[in-house]
Amino acid sequence: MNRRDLLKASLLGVAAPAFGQAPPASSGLGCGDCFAKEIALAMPAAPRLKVTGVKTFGVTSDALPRDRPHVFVKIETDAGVVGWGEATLEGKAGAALQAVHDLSYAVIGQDPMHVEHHWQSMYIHAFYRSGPVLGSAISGIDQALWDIRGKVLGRPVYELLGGPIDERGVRGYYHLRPVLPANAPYREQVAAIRERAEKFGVTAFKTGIPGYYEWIDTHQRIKEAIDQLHVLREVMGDAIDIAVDFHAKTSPAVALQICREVESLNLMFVEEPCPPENVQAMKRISDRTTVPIATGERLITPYGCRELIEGKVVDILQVDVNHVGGVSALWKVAAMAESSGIVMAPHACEGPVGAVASTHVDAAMPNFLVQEICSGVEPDAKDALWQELLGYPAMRMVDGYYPLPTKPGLGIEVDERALARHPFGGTKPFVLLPVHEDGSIASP
Amino acid sequence: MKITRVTPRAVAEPGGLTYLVVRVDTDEGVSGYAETTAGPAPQVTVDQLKRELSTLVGANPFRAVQIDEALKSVQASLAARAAANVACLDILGKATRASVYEILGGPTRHKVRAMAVLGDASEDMLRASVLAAKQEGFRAFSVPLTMPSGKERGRRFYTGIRSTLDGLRGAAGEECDFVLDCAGRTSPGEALSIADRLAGFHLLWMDEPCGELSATAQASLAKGSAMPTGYGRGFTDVARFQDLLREDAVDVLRPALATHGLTAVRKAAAIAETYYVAVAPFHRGGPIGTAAGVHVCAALPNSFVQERPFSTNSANRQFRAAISGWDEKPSDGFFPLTGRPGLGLAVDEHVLDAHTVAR
Repeated sequence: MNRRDLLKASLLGVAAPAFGQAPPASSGLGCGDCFAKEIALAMPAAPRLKVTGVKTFGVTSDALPRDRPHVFVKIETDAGVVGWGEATLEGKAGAALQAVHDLSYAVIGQDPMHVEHHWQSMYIHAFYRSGPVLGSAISGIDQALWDIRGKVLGRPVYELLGGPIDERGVRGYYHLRPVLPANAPYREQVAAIRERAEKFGVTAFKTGIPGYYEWIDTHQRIKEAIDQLHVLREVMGDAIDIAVDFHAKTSPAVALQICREVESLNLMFVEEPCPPENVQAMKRISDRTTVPIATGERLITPYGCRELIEGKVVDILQVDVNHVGGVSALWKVAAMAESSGIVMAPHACEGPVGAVASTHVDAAMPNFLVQEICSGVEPDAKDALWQELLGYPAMRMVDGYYPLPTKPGLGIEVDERALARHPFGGTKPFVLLPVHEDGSIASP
Repeated sequence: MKITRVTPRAVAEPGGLTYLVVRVDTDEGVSGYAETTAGPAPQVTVDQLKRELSTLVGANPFRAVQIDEALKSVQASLAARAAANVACLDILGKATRASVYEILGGPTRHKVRAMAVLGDASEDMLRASVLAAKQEGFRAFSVPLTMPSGKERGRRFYTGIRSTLDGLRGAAGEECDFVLDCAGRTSPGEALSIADRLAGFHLLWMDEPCGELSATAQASLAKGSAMPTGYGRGFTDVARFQDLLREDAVDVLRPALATHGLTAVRKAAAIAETYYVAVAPFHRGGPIGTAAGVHVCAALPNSFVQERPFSTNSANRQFRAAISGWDEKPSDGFFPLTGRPGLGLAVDEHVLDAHTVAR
């Protein structure tokens, strides 16, 4: 028996107990002619419990950005234990909802405890690997499986990952959102935000840069961005960390000019100083400035992060638990980054289920820096919606930290009656669809 | 739950193999076990681990990462950190009535490929060991490379290796696979010549074909031949694996369980996964270490095989089964998964006591 036969025999051994009959042998003639396709789904060890259903919930509300109806995943089991996950995908809600159903074959009838096995099945058996739609669907299912795993074992997910490292919870940052009327001068807005930050113990914020940029841009636009950041540091003071999201609006040429002229501000990081597809372009920026460079919210699966880590292109990775592949993949990316001295600041600008899932993984990362949430220092309508859905003020910091849930699994309970009050209203495009003054497409 | 006591001890098998067994007790009556290397002076190692691990008393054993960070911050030895990691996972598994592989997200498979590590011996004795190991259920064997005593190599050295391996496969059968353990004793050039001579034999891989050289030197075999290579038994940091992967220098990561524990092996495996590279934890110790390796292999998507030392000495085998409550026997080449909580072992303190050489 050669090695191929050995492999075949091992697979046959898996198949027989699960399906009651030997699978058809491969002819070996056709491309992709492989009997392993269905066999690998079967794990014959006596399951603790079985997945009986995968349900999805789309949530549309005026309290949310129009491109971001929340996509929640509920996995049900024959033991009555249910798990919740999130597959929200900005601007592609309908596709994400459908993709979760497309992948449900991988877990229905299976033991939900085998989360790594199911992750591999969803990713590898999909044939066309990766991409944000598949990544988000895997993420939602993976989070729900981890929720079930924790509930069955009676422990919070972060404990199954060896955490928490910091008993206070997970350090976070808010976005710089106006707290005064919109027409208030910039300095006054920042001063008011700083006042509230000091009151609530918030230690970090993220802001953007004004307007939209062409690949080479004018003195006026570049100076406006630089001046605004200097004002921000001056008014915010030296004790609060400031991150700046370029949001991939800039080219390396433009981003570098801005980065070099804000180095003295000791920013926490500059995020997406250019679009993420070209790793060498990102490296060109990070090689030429002392500002820590962050990216990653659009990266899918650990494979999508490898080149950035291998080349030590960035200082901070910001993968998103709702896109990268859930709890399993976020943990792996953090492990990959740790060996290269890269720290983690996971992205979270979708719904509360994924955000809470992210904090569980954060809590077990030795190389954790800070967790994002797309909220302001003052709670708004979205925070009220999240409280309605989860029954508590989810992802609101206490003294600069998101408190960790203490109940098993993800430690949250989603109110399905509340979900029903905000039915899915269809897919909507990104909030902004900007163009330059000459009508050409600008990056939002 | 709180840790109340940590007890390291060195035990010696009847055949002489010595390793450290660490027991971690808690205030809720749950105990975890781990194993690590005894080093050249077991009493010194035991004393060091006693000192380093005494800081765990009062800690929550469910906080494995927090504990590791604390040990790292005081420059604790790798052996201490590895033992603490495995024992904490054993406790967490027992407390939640889950196997360690379940805690780690597995299983990804329902059995784990097994490999017998054979000791230095003549060709006849190697053949006898292979047949005995096959009889016990192994189908994969790590065979030590026998080096000439002097500097001379000559063609006979290379043809001899091929001849030995052909003989072993002829005796064991085509269904059996081999690793050639060079143990870092060959130069990159010699390794290339051996690889060339073994073309068509389909070794699983050449293990540690050269010693602690630069990543570039270690990559020379991978760049110069199609022979799969395994590295890492001596690495003390996961980052070294990342360096080798960046150099395209390795096909099988060989993190030592006694050095890294399970969480760090899992991290190395996560890095390797994106390079399509397999993991085969290095283990030359006792049955608690073997069990830990089987659990992590059962949880990884890219594990290939778990090795354990094989001895034809029946007293050794009986001792290992007695201390762990597990016979370490594979079935048709694979360790079965027991599904028992924690590491799934029933450690016999009385047998350990009788074979303790340092405490």
